[in-house]
Amino acid sequence: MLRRVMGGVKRSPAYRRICGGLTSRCPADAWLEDDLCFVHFHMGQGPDTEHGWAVFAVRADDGQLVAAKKLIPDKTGQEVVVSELLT
Amino acid sequence: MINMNRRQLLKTSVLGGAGTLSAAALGFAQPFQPTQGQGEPGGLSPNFAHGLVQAVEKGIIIAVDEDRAPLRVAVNDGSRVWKGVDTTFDDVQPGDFFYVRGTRADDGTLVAETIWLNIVNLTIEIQNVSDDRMDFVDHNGTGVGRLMPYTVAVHDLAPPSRDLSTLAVAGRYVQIVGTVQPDTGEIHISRIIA
Repeated sequence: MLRRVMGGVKRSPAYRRICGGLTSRCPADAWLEDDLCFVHFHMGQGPDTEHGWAVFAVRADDGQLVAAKKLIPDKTGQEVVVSELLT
Repeated sequence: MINMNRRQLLKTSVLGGAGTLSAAALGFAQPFQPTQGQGEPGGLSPNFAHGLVQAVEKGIIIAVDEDRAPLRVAVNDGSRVWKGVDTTFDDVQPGDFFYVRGTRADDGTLVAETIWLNIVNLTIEIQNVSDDRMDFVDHNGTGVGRLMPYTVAVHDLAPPSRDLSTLAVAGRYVQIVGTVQPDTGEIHISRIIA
């Protein structure tokens, strides 16, 4: 199932858009909850890349990507800006 | 005030709308801090390393990395040491290779959070199984695995099982995780994954 889920993430335009800025192509974490698998990556590779996180939600049964966001903390660390990756 | 753990925060964020989250409103005492990215641009994470053990002394592993550069790894009571199963610092031997994740001390020593010794992760086709021996082929050629008292089978997200009968079968393609034995090259198998 993990292969199906990761395939759903890595074939998506959302992943391709940010993969160059990931610190690793291997996810930092992946877990199953309520029939959705969540996949978490760290961002921050390269001098022009925002430091933060990317999170994908994938349907466990068919690998369909249902949501993707990036989370970038502001300079103070007091707030984090959540941006859509599916657009 | 809502208290959320990391997974809850990430789940809520990805399934919710775009916008701004406040650390305080989410119950975090500390500001948000990305844990990666503090290394040189384009470089490897400073919190992860791999190397070959040269010597072991009083909680310190003296090692070299793949470029033969010296590497010091500190192992303390909070470190997890894995060598097929969770074990202790006493099982670290010169000649072991390792992957380690941890945090850098000011003197450059990597303080281990988790260290994996002699770990290998292979996709194989099983050729033959008899008693505790499993002959296989992978992209490097043939190999020998050993079924150990701690070997478990893993099917998707089901709990690991000691019943190996459905996976340790000739002709099956499986993934194995285990430890390579430096003297024989055999794999002591920890997990067989469907």
